[in-house]
Amino acid sequence: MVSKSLVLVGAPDSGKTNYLARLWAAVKESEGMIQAKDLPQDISYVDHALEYLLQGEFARRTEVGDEHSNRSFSVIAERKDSSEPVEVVVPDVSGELWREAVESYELPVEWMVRLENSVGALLFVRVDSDQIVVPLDWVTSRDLLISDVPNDERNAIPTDVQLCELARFLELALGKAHGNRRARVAVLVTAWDRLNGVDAESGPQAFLRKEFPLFSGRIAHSQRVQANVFGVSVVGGDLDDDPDFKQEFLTEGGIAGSGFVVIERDGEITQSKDLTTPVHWVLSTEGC
Amino acid sequence: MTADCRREDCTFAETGECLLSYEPSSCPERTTVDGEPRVDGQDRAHFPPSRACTLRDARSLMARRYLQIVGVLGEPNAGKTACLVSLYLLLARNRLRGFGFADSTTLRGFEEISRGARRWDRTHPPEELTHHTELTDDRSASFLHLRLVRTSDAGPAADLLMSDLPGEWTTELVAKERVDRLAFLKRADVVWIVIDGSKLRTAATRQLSRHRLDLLVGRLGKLLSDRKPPLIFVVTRRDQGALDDGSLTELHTVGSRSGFDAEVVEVASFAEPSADVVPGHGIEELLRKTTRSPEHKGLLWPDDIVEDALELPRIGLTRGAHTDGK
Repeated sequence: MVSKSLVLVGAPDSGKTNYLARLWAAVKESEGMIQAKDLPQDISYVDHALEYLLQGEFARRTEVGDEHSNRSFSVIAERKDSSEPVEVVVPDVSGELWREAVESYELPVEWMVRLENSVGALLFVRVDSDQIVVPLDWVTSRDLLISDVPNDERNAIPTDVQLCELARFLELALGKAHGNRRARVAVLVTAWDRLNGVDAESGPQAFLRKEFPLFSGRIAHSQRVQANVFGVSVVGGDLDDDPDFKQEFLTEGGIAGSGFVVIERDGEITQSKDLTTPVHWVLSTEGC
Repeated sequence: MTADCRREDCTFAETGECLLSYEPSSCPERTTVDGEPRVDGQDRAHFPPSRACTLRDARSLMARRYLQIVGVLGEPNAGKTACLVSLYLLLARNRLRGFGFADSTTLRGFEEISRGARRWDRTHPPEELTHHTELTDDRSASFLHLRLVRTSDAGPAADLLMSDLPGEWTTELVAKERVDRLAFLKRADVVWIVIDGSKLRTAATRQLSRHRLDLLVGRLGKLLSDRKPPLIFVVTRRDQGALDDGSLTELHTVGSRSGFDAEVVEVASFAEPSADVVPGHGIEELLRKTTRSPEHKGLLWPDDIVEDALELPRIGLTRGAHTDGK
């Protein structure tokens, strides 16, 4: 049986843990293209994260991670479009690891090995995250250029640049153990439900071009990785700031069938209830 | 093979010999090899940094693909850095028409100069192009890289390596004909001479500014006597006013007197809200003129060009005189 490892990449508060929890629910309930063949032996971490969603709350990774030593999700899965079972391994990783990597250009060697052995990656950025750092404007830059006063805020790296650096790291290391295969990177724009109607209708690629133009250009012209951009909402609404949605989620909707993925292909934008779609795309060689 | 070494006195890239007599793959002072990650002795893996590009990095990059070298000269405070920053901010704000961002191996370098995090130590400007990757906090003479795709036409991508030098190097070129550290200009595809536009427009400083410019172009003409790349006079501070026709004509005359086919672009890297131009004015035109493909006239790259200015392999290209309209 083939074992395929993916790696989750993204800054703190980019939506990795909640997606992993929702992915577990989807795989367990056979909601999508990837479904669990058997119940995994160790589900402590990912199931604990799912418990938050089931109670109408988004998981905070610091709350989930403190209690569990094994922070990876490993499941024997079947793809509906393949007869070959595959072990899918997705280690959850703290956003701080990637933030430190961007700042220092260093990574613990175990994570470099994971990158090299992974067949693909999921790269996260969250809509409306308060961790997003906007680029400089001309006024601020001019003032900084002429100022002699040291300022610690000078060192804040814009999120667009952080994403470019993460993309560069993936280009350098992802999938190296598998030879010349061009590794796949699924870019997940999480909390898609928080976008206004106009931005949402424009699709995930337009969102990236508008909000993160450097990163958008970088992945569009990468020669070392193949990237695809997805909009993702793990439960279809905001459990933090929309009490009506939360109430409906808890009393009527539930997690089964909740959430959606926005897919963009050949200029056409569609929506799917299959939360496994980005993972399926990374694992497969065909288009989405 | 090139390698990045923490030791500033190591000349492996030039001599092939490790200062500590290690084999290249085992030296503990190496941070990356050939731009690829490597693991150190403390179980940490290192990615190559994306700060400004040293001479060694430039050589490594150009060994892998063709890059267009843009030599940027100008006296202190002419606005050289501001031009580069403004170009970067236009890209970061998705406001550069005609071009889109594709890549930069020095993205953090652009971010740093845009924040003023690295500025020249005026009392001790760097003496030469930096050879080593381990850059200090002080500004080091180096290069910045940008790969741009064209969005307005189907032209080829523009892969630029732009020099980031202290103004004092230009001053010393003029005053003492110090050319040793500017040998890379012999490999330049385009040269920008950045001029403080406010000095050209002000009566009290106009004549002196023109005099020094004439000297600079003369020095440059002598340095590049074998091959003259296209020359662009980048006149800054356009937000404070435009040049008159007479000044524009004079600039062309200065250029042609030394054998250059010169163009003039007025830019406003920054601008007050009350100005009649927006921040970044002229940068798009500057980029278009810089990346315009030369007319191919069937002439081979001159055999007697000093290729070893950057110790580069010979690149077989067809080049012609740059005669497109001004």
